[in-house]
Amino acid sequence: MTAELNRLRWRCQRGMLELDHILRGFLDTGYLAAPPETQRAFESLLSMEDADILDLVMGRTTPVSGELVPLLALLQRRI
Amino acid sequence: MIPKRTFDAVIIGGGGAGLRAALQMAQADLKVAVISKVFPTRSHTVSAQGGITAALGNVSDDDWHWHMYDTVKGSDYLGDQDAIEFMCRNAPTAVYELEHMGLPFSRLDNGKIYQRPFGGQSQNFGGEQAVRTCAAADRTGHALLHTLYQRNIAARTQFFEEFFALDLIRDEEGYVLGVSALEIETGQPWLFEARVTLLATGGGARIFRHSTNAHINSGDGLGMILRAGLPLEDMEFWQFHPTGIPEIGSLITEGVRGEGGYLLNKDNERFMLRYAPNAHDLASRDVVSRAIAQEILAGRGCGPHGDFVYLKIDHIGADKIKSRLPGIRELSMQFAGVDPCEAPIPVTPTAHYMMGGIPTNLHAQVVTPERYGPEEAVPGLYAVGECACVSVHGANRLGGNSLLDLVVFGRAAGNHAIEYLRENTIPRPLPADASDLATGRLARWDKAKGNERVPKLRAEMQRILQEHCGVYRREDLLKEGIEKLGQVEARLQDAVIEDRSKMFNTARLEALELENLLPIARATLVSALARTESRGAHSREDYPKRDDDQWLRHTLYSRENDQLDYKPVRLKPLTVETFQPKERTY
Ligand SMILES: Cc1cc2nc3c(=O)[nH]c(=O)nc-3n(C[C@H](O)[C@H](O)[C@H](O)COP(=O)(O)OP(=O)(O)OC[C@H]3O[C@@H](n4cnc5c(N)ncnc54)[C@H](O)[C@@H]3O)c2cc1C
Repeated sequence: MTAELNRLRWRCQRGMLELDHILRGFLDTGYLAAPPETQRAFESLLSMEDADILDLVMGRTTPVSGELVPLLALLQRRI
Repeated sequence: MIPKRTFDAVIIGGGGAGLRAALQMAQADLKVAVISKVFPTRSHTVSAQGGITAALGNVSDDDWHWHMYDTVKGSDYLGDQDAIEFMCRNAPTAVYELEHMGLPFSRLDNGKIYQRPFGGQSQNFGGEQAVRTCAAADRTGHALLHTLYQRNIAARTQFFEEFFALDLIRDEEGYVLGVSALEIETGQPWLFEARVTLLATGGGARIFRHSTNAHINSGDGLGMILRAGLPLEDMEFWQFHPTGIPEIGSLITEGVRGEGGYLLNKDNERFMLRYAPNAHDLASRDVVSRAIAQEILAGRGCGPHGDFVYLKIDHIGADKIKSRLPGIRELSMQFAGVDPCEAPIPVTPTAHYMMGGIPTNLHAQVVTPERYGPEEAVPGLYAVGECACVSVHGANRLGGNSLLDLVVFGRAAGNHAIEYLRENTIPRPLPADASDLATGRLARWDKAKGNERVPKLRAEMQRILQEHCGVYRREDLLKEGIEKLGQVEARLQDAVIEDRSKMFNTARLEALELENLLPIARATLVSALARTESRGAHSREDYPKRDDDQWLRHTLYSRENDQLDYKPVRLKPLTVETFQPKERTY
């Protein structure tokens, strides 16, 4: 589990400061308590491009896949 | 010996600078490796939303020579005028080249590349506002990275993603022969052997507490340079962006002021009219940051602690804000809790860009006065982008000039390296101790004992720099800062990491980054203390005037005994007349 969390932690290191705050914040305080499908959604969010993640989190675009919706709601509530 | 891979060229950094240089070399059929600690398209270049500057003249009349004038003036005459001429002259070609590579620039109605006005841009050597910054909506950096990355894939550049570069390999004669790096996924150290090594590791503004920079900006290339016994140039010059969201650091682009936004103090006064009678809120960044800092110091800051001012934009109307500045509206709502259509955005000067860095010449070769006489190139070593100091930004960078710097000098570096590789076909043998520095550092963290923790020391360093070396500097404050930093450095010896695992060990990476940040912080404080004048982003309360007689020169800081050397500013351009230093007014 440590290696797994560490991997996610490194992938939360992004080119945009805003994403550092949002993603790392969620990993540190919300991820472990989240249901497995939300954890999976987080993984797939991390594999996306910075500019696209920011657009999603800011609500400028809507996700193509429905599984991101509950995660985005969580992330938006945290900001 | 740790395992080794061999290339013609190894490039450390997959941001705009590294990718542009890599492309030039890969297209010449060289075997090129790019090492990056994060996926290249997640490099900090992705944050650049404003755009890239070039005198295309698509919106206002324009000329590269005017762009050069603005850049020299913006640099407070510390920029090297040959390098600035080279950059501004080559800017249109560099932008058209990106266009041809497929970068999706926004368009004007007539189909030409869209340009927007930025601070410090003028027509006719200081006349009317020029409109010079080319943009791909608010995704210029993202678009730049993607275009260059795809081109590199096509040119068969090999990417080593999530590899953390540790230290340069240098032989006894001073040739740089590659770099050691840690494979983040496995914890395996590697040697990357190459006849050309190019640093493109970006900036280090995370030495400050309040910064617009992503957390990965730990100035790793600068740490490597100092450990290799090479100097850093002009480290006292850090740009504070005037409009960062307090605490978070999130940047509110100059574009807001370009669209008609202006700053207000707590008395609702539009104070920039006093500080910059002509350019007002679009004066150069250092000027605006100082004005805000002065208002705050004079007790005219806003909020319960009086530590920020307001940026008002609601008067241009909600429709315009939503159509022209959508990203900014959301940023402000999410991170400052304010809808700019209804209320002003709180902003404060925030550390943003490193004008200093690794000294380079016009070909992006790393140069040093040490041992080779004045300004000789370190054979096999190049540096490009924010980590380098060529110096086109001098004491203060103009918005949009960084992306330009990356592509113009990335290309120049590639071209020179191709020649160098042609002349140096046979690899020099690696020294027996090639991996010692790196393995020594890794072993130190694996075996460390003590009570100190890396995140705490990093936070203390950031607080020291913020309090002792912010927008305004003063001798006693700087001296105290150096002393306090010394204590943090001493405590680093007792620092441990609890996690000793191999795979994706982020604690170890943070420790290695701190080993880069701390010497940069020291270089900054020591260089700032010595420069007893105010120029560009370096403002000394106790020496408020620029002093060209004594200080029209670049600082060179070396780690051993905090040694300082100086070299003259290159005032002579390549083909045009020198812009003689004048008082800077906006
Ligand atoms: C919020 C913001 C907005 C900006 N907007 C603009 C703008 O509109 N116009 C403009 O001209 N400039 C802008 N700038 C400045 C500009 O974005 C940067 O100066 C520029 O992108 C730096 O590019 P680079 O290629 O030098 O470095 P980066 O893009 O920072 O890339 C550094 C690379 O080095 C790699 N790296 C670092 N250390 C290591 C290591 N130890 N091992 C392996 N790899 C490593 C990283 O993974 C990364 O790939 C902005 C800056 C900020 C903070």
